[in-house]
Amino acid sequence: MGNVCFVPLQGGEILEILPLAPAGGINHSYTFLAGYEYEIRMASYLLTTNAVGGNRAPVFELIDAAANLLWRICFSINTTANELARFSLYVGCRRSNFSLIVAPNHYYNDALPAMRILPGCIFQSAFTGLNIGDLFSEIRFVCYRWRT
Amino acid sequence: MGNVCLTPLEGGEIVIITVPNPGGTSDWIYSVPAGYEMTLLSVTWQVSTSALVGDRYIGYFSWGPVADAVLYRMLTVFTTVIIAGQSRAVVLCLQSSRTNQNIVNHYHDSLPEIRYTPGMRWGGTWAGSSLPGDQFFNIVQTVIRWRV
Repeated sequence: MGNVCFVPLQGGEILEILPLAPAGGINHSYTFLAGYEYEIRMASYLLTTNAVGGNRAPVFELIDAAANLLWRICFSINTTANELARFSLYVGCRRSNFSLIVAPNHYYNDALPAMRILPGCIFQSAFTGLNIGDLFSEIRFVCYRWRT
Repeated sequence: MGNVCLTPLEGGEIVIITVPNPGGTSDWIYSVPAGYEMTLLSVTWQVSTSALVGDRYIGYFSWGPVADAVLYRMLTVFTTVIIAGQSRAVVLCLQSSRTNQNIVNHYHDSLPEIRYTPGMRWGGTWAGSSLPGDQFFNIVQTVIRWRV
């Protein structure tokens, strides 16, 4: 094997983040901490919608500390009433729109951006049409993090 | 060739790992052992279903080492169902495009581009839809691993 290095030369530490869920009807947001640069490599959300009819348009986005938009994905399949909508996003995912019902679950998958994120930036859901009884839960991120 | 480096700059070693077949109707799971970080480069496995009538949904998942009641952190489920008495193959690799069941009965998709830390897990799932006699088998994966 010659001089192959057996430690990851990319460096950084791998971090699992379990953010607190927001109140009903409110989108979730997470602000990246000072002192680090991050890459968000996997993200997972469960959205449980109540019985009130209407479309909830699934959107996730990354903004900077001044609220400038850096990245956004918008699914073309709406979440509707009485769903368990599981959103699984990861770097390297090749699809843009997908939903499958395995009652009562709906699965949505899409890619995340492979980019270093400055402290103060915010990763958030930005759904439109959320009802007060709709709840986000089971929010999980896996990130790379480097000290800066 | 000048100053071309003849060893891989990302470091690490490539390892082919065979995962034991799970019990009938069960998901298969692989856990990253202590002392390593790993990126899953490719994984293949075969699927067979019994003669019992019903739709089966298959997919794959990743989740972290944090112990809590939430099973799925990141989950993908294929859009084409498998029915009774079928044999299928799943072929996943980094940067692959998705094809659901194709003409030679394969399912293809991408994998998350991430370094998994010890205790993190991934695997194949029936998404709760297996029936008696269904089986996952011949699970072979290629990983790049670094010592940490």
